[in-house]
Parts: sequence; structure tokens; C-alpha cells
Amino acid sequence: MIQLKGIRKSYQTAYTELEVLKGIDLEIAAGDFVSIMGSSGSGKSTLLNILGILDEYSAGSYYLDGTLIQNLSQKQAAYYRNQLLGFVFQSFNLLSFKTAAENVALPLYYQKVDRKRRQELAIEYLDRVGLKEWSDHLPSQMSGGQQQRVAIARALITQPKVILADEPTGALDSKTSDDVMELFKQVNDEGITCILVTHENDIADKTKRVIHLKDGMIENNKIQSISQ
Amino acid sequence: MFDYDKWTEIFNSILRHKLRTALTALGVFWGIFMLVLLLGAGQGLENGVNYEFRDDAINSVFIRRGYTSMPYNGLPKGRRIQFNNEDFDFLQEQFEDIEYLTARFYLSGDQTVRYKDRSLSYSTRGVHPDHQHLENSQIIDGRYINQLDLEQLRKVCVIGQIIKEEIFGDEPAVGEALQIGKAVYTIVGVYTDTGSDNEMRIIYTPITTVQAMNNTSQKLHDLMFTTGDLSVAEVNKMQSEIRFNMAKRHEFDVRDRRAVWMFNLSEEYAEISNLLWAIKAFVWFVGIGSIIAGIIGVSNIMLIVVKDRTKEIGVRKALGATPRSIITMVLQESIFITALAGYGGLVLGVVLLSLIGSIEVEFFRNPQIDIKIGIIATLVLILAGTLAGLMPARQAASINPVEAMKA
Repeated sequence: MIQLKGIRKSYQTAYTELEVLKGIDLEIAAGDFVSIMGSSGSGKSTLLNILGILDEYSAGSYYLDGTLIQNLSQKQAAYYRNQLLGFVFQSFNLLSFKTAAENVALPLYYQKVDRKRRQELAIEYLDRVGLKEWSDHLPSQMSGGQQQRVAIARALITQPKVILADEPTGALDSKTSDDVMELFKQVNDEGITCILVTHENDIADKTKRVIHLKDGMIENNKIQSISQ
Repeated sequence: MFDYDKWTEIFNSILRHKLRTALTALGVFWGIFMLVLLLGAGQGLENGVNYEFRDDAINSVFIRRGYTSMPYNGLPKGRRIQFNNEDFDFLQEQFEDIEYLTARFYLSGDQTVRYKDRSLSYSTRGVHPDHQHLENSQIIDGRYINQLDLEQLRKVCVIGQIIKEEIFGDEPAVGEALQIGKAVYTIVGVYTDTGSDNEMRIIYTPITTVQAMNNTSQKLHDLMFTTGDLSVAEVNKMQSEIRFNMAKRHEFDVRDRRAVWMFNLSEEYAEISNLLWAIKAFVWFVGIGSIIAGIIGVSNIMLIVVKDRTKEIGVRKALGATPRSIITMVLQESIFITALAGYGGLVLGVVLLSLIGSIEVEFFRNPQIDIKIGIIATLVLILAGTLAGLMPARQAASINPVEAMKA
């Protein structure tokens, strides 16, 4: 599903060039459930942004579902993000003035799905995350865990190949974190590739594979038994 | 194409910042409102001026007899200058640029006019056929005085519409015989005039006929002519030539302005026209200035809106919004605010103008704006909204989702 070869990313600052990723080689198969760990500054968020086509890389190659993701126009990038990827963010990033259902339906708006169908699908996906009753509520009326589940429903509604999650439990207490991770596991069980960035070991332990980043390099890359 | 969702987004955005949007809209509203009002007032002024000049050809020159105020060649001052047919012939022969030329011979005092048992009193003038053009008289029945009438000293007359109504009511007047003073004239035409009612209480007859009735074949009272497309300078030059020539023939000092009165409307009119042009230019200058101020206001507010929504736009981009969809979202909002506010200003301005329109003041009449200007204004508003939104929209489209969501 994802093939990275020699991915480098450097930022030009006023005086120096700061290399954040120093040659990442990584393959993630379809249906995998991967967590990316590392201390802050290790480059894990940068890697996730490159995977999410939100950021460009300086050197190397990135294939997503067989497509070379390189030098895309903004329009093409928007298309692939919309068609192949689903995002879950640490701070949920729901639109505060839209109801849960409207938030979930938003990606479909950019796919030009008609309004009625969007509404139906949004309710359906909210139901899947157990929030059908909350579809008319605004994010501000919901708890953090509920908001994150709405965000997950929004990521799932386009039936993406890959879900990318940036510290999805970072703002949640441990009980809610477990619920959210359970949800990710369900999603993964349906065959959707899940990649999440975290710095919490017990979260990483719930994934099939953990990738440790250190100073822009992959430190070790181990497959762990899910039963652990 | 009507995109329900896009409009929902726009209303949402506007409703979230009611006060801010309203204040911005006020800028555009006021700009257009003032422009309409000023343009209308300018038009009203122009209409008023044209109205004051309406019943006379604006390029006309009047020559009237006077009394000498300076002695000349041993002749005393206070002499009456009397025009005659030679003056008319001189003008006719020497000046090709004269468009219409007529003399006037006034029958002294109002004449008693009799028709059957009715007896009224009107003033009567002998004129040349061109007189019709100098007074802007419009024939509504029959014809005006013609050259043949003059040659054959026909006893015919043309009467004003009011005389016709006062004497004949709804009955036709043309062909009827009218006793004017001691002589009987046949009515050949009825005219109307855009000037005051008094302009339509005058009877015109061939000048030669009137001269004959008054035992003279030579005397004229006034001379009037129009100058076509001549410039004010050319008219002035012509006038001094005429004055020079008349001074010689009638023996008065050429510097003696009172011997022969000569004046034209074109100079006066040209001055007022220049003034009107200047007022119009000023109006556009001020109006466009205030519209530009309004547009900058909209642009500013849209920049703030985009800044405010940076995070939201970042999320939208992460979810698959194309730059184009972001640009149209911002542009549409900007155009909507500008167009709605501007249109409001346009409508209120026009309504106010029509209220003012019922006021009648001298030199101010019927203020209004052209429908063409209204249409142009609408197009300009849409263009203005686009311009106002363009920079903020591009800024929105260039938002980096990663950066935006960090904020």
C-alpha cells in the first residue's frame, strides 16, 4: 500500500538547512496497523504529513496505492487526499459551527456527492462509531472522546485505503483512549490500513507494528504480536 | 449554477460575523448610495438648466432696437434706431452660417380677436417662416407661415394651442376665419410650445401682411437668428461684424451698446454647460472614490475572515478541498456582500431621487439616473466584489494545511 524509498525532508531556515528526515525506507502493506513513535523533533509528524500528501518531500520516492506521489498540483493532491486517505487529528479539528453529521459529511461534499446521500451516509457512519443520537449536536456539546469518534467517522466516510492519525489519543484520558483504539482496531479489521503517530507506549502496543524514529531515521522496525 | 451548499456556507460565514459584515457592507452601500444621489442631483441640475432654456433655440442671437446713448457725427443721443427690411436682407445675404433667420413685427398692444360671438384679446406678431425654429414651436394641426404667404401678403395666421382651446374648444380651428383688430385672417395652423402658457397665447401672421396693414413695407422690430454649430467665439465674431455694419448704416457709434441690443444664449449656455461638466466630473470623482473605499473595506474584512478561518480552511484542504473550491468560497462571499450592499445603495438612492423629483425648484428638475448607469453600476459591483475578494481568496488557497491545523 505504501512504499517509501530514501525519503528526505529538509527545511530551509534563514541561516541553515535543517534536515528533518534523513532517508526513510519503509513499506506498509495493505491492512497493516502501524504506529510511529519517537521523541519530539524525531520527524514523526513530518513523516505523517508526507504520507498524508500535506507536505512535500525533498528527495526519494513515495508510492501510495501504486501511484507515485511527487510534484503533484494542489488539485491532484486534494484529489488523492480525498479519495485515498482519511485523517484523524490530535485536536479533532471538527468545524465548530457544523453539527456532527455535517462534519462527517464534509469530505463527501468535496466528492460532489449530493446532499441527501451525504446526510444518509453521515448518519450511517455516526451509527458505526456509536454516536447516531448525537448527529445534530455541535462539537462543543460533546466530550473529547465523542468528538474524536466523530472525527474518525469523518475519516471513514470516503472509504479510504489508509487512515492517518496524528496523536489521536493525545487529548483524551486513558479510558476514552482505549475506546478510540478499540475503534481503530475495528476499522483495521475491515482491512483499512491504519497508521498512527503516538508517543505513548501503551497506545503503540495496541498496533501490529511499531516504527521508532530517532533524529530523522528509522531506529528499529519490529512486528509485535497483537495479543501483547 | 445554484450550489445550495456553497450558499449555506456563505450565509453561515456571514451570520457568524453579523456586525463585521454589516459594517463592511455599509461602506459599499454608502459609496453607491452617494454616487447615485450625486449623479441624480447632477442630472437634475442639467435637466433644470435645459428646462429653463427649453423653448428657445440655445444657439440663437437676438437683435433689438434701442436708443443711441452717444452722439455720433453731429447727431444727438437719444435717437431711436429703426430696423428695416435691409437689415434682414443684409443678414440673409452676408452670413452663410446663419441657420434660421426671422424678423418680428409686433402689432401694438393686444389685439381684440373675434370669432362668431366670442371676443378675446391676444398679442399678434408678424414673422418669417423660420420663426418656428427659433421659438421651437411644434405644429399640431395645419401648417406654419410659409414663404408664399409672405410673397402674396396672405391674410393667414397660426394660433397657439391655448387660443385654439379658448376660442374653438374641441372644434377644429384650421380653415376658420378670425377677426384680428380690423382685419379678417384665415387660420392655417395651430402650434404648441414647450415654454410657458403665454408662449401659446400668441398669434403669428406673415410679416409682410402685418407691415402692409400698418402702412409700411419696410419697418421691422426685432431680428433673431440661430447660428447652427458655430462656436461661441465664432458667434461673437459674427455679432461684432453685424454691429459694425449696422452702426454704419444706421449712423451710430459702434461702441454705443444701447443703440442696438444684441445678445445670445450660446455664451451663457456654454458657460453653464462647462459648469455642469465640471460638476459631473467632480461627482464621478467623489463617487468612485467612495466606492473604492468601500471595496477596500470589503477586501480588508475578507482578509480578516480568511485569517480567522485559517484552521478551518486547513481542515477542509486536508479533507480534499481543492484550491479552486476555497477560492470560489471566499470570492462568492465577497461578491455577495458587495453586490447586495451596493444594490441596496442603488435602490435607496433611486427611491430618494424619485422623492426629491417631486420638488420643483428653478434650475433643478427631475433628478434621475439612467437605467444604463444602473446596469453598469451592477456590473461594476460584481467586478468590485471579485477584485475585493481576489487577494484574500488567493491567500486562503495558499494556506498550508499542516501549518493551519497547528495553529
